[in-house]
Amino acid sequence: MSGPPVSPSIALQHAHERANHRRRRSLALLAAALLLLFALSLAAGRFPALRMMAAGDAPAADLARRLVLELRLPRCITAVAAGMSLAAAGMVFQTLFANPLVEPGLLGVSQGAAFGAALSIIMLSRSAWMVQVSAALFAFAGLWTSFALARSIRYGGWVLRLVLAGIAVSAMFSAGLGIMKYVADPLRELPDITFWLLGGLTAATWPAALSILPAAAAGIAYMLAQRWRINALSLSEEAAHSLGMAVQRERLLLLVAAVVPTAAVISVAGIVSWVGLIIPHIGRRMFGADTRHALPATMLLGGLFTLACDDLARTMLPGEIPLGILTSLAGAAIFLVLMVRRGIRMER
Amino acid sequence: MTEPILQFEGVGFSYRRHAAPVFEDLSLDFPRSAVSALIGPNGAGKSTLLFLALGWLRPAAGCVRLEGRPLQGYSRRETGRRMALVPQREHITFEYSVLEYVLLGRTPYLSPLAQPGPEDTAVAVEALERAGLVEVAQRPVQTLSGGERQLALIARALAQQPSLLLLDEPTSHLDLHNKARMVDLLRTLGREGVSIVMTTHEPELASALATHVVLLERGRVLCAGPPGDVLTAERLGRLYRMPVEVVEVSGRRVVLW
Repeated sequence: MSGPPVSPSIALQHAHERANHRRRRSLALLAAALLLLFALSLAAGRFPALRMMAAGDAPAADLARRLVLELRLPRCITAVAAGMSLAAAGMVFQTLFANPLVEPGLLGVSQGAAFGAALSIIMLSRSAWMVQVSAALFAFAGLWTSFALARSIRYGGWVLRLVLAGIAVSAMFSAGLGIMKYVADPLRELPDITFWLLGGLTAATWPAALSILPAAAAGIAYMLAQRWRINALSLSEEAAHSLGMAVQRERLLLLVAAVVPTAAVISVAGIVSWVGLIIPHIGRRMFGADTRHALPATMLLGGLFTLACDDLARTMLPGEIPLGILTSLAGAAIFLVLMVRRGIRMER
Repeated sequence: MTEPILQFEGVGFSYRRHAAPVFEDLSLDFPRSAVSALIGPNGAGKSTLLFLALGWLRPAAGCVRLEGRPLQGYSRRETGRRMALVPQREHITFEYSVLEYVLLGRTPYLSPLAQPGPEDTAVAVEALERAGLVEVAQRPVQTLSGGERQLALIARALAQQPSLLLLDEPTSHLDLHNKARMVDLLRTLGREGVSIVMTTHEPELASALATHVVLLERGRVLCAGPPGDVLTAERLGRLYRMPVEVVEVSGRRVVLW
């Protein structure tokens, strides 16, 4: 090494800028990988034959074109939107609650949404809009109840109280869901409900994909726009307040931005578990804790993970494997590996 | 005499509606460009007073003024640029590097959609320099020793470039060496004109550092003034309800019991 000596402070500043630059480049690579997988996913499938589609498959071309445009395209879009929404929501929840083990599912959001969807299927209407609205309403109800309960529990730290309350609320909703299943018409309604609990993208046609895109895009855009400030909300409330943040309002807006897309995704895809819990850990491990980079990374990784799982779900066996089963399987396996290799670190 | 930096005017506060009030009609001024120490037994209301100053808690009666203006008259970002809080300790869940953590202090200077730029990094690095943490700036906060962590808290507050620094028992977890580092840093800041309000259980610290001392007893001001007048055996004895002796050793007061 030659040149004049650089003061440690200048060196530190440069190292920081370089690291940021490196992270931005890695983000671009991840985005490229997602695009590539997306293109491959459109081509991959049981038709035509058991191989990739070639441009010159003339006789089947029309059918193939319709297959790609009307079945695979909306489904892949939904998979990516779902993965991005769930992973981002998971990271926002973990950061806001300063707890690496929460995800929307742990705070009554998923069970609430599933209950709301079942309620709508049985009592109100099976139309996609109605089911989604009902799912979203009950997702919020679940979150709010967990929150209110956690506030009134008189012992334990905030995190413990929140998790306890979330367990109780989730259990209530799944009991309610049990009742719904029990009274449901076994031929028409029950299969619809069962679908929620396993999760899957068979219902992801164009109308469904288009119906979740606005909610997913709005939520994701807001979370992305706030990706720096989310960091400060992981501090104690008084510390965040002293940094000039409107803690209550900003926290609430972010929770809404996380829950709305989650509820929308659940209403189409059912409960796709583990994405919101495990992907943020991978994102943080690769990009550091700063949500400036970890949040976009988590979104891209969530899209990649869910799309890959869905590709497997629809191509691995002659019949379709429910997506939620695959994400659980893969997610839990990754979680175990990370835990054993101390990839998940926390104080207490 | 210049206008005080922080004023409490007839402030009343209680944590719950029907609970016993922490403060009733509390009036108290903190002089500008001074190091003020708040001393009082546990439960006297020291931390509550800091939180009221911060605007995190709102008084039920009366008014808190910052630089002469009522706190409600400031936007959140404006107060974030004027005063910074150094909590007693902070639980940091995720593995932020020390530099990333200190960068959070730039939040009040950034518009809601903006992200810190090179100038913000420069301010954060300078704050790290002052706290003597440049060497460890790229390590996760969790790997710091207790003393370094306390200094990192101060560095984050310094990145806010505040004119008023609120510290909650800044030396309570520190060993002798780190305590000396902390005292040096605070003294330098005080000399540079930063107003400091800190709570402490150590009259020795107040005597070594403060230019203004307030004795607080169950939400009431027992007395306030220069350390020489306030830190006497008679007054400290009354505050803690026990006989104490105050001896002066090389210009500093030490409390014996």
